[in-house]
Amino acid sequence: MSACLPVSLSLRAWIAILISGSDHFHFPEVRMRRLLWLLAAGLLLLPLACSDDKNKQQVNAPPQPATPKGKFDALDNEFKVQQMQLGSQFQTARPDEQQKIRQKAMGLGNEFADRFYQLAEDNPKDPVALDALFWVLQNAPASPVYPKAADKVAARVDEMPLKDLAERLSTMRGGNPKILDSVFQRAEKEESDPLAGDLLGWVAMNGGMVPVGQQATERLLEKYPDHAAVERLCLTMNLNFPKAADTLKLILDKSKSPRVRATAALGLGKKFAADADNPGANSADADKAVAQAEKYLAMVVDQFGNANPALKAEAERERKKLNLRVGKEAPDIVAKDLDGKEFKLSDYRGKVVLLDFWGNW
Amino acid sequence: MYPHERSLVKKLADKPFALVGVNSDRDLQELKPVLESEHITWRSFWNGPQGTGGPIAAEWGVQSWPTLYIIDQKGIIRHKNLRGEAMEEAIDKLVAEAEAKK
Repeated sequence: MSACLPVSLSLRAWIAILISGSDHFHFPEVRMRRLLWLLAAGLLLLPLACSDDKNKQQVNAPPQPATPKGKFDALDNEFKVQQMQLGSQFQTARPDEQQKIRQKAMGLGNEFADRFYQLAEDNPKDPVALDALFWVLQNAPASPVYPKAADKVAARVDEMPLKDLAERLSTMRGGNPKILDSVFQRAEKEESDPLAGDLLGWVAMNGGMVPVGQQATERLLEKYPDHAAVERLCLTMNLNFPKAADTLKLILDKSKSPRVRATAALGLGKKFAADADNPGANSADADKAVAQAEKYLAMVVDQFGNANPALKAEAERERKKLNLRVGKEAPDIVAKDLDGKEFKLSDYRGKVVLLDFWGNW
Repeated sequence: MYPHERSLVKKLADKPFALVGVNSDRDLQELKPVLESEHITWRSFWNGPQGTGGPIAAEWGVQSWPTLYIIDQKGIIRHKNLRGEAMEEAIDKLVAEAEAKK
């Protein structure tokens, strides 16, 4: 069982890589999804790495697989083994080397992309072709074959079984315009089916940069106003998308569920609060954004607060943060000092105070 | 950070200025010797046994350390997270304002 140890170590290392790579992923939900995805991948590998040496040899040196499916599995395995190796290297590396390893880890999918794409090319009639193309979409967004894989998938969206398509999309992120369009068209073709709501939800979630994303939100609210995807959209939407505020306003207007509307209002409050904090914003824009943020946060508290205490509490926290802006009065602090004697920040009125949140670490 | 803070406190000792800390160490017993060896003479609130997760940091939405606020003599927040020379200049300017109003 000692073979288990490196796996859990490298899994931790992976998480370290992802977290330390947070400058690329500003949004916790995106990071979270990557994290969950990798955790899932790691768990899948666990039994392989924990098994005895005979099986382990198979992992490291698979026999030449004959079937397309066998080839796919072998390739995927090779990728995961390299992923784990980088993970353990990262953990023991010096900080200046860690940056390089992280970049290599982030780009690892791109290095495998050609071979997955070729597998799909060589076996166009085999179901594995679709697996390989989706693999490229999920793991190799920066590879030269990505646009070709996206074109091929977009062309097949129309003929795939609805359930299969919805399942594959549920673990995929990214907003290739052709796929977004074809998924939207597919959803439009379907009669009222919750799975078609899933498709619209996916387009709405990932299509924030293109008009079809907004269109999908409108259709989702029109055809499936109570679909779970509407609430998911409020909770996980990237607030940096140019149309984020429009989408949330639409949901606030159209949804009949008070909880979903409260979630949308909270999202708007956060969105405008973030706009106000944007260092690039001039002070007039920042003031406008603050006013908008205050309006929507007040709505969460006053209009929806009683039925949704958790959302209310979060809105109140956001409101407090808004009051910590330059130009606002500092809230008083009444607490004990390091010797246990109570004092107040307002004791220093009349003096300029440098308030320093510090720790000895 | 400590040497910079020490020199600031020394430089503005007779001025209407105070450095006030909010300390997020979990264990005060471990911190005490550091206060002496680093000559940390300015007063700090203690954020409590939850360390960085304590109530004052939460109230102020602090998510990275150190976080610095400059508050003027009327209690208005005037700057957030200035560092180095920019911080000193801003403090000097506000201290001059406070002295002029006296």
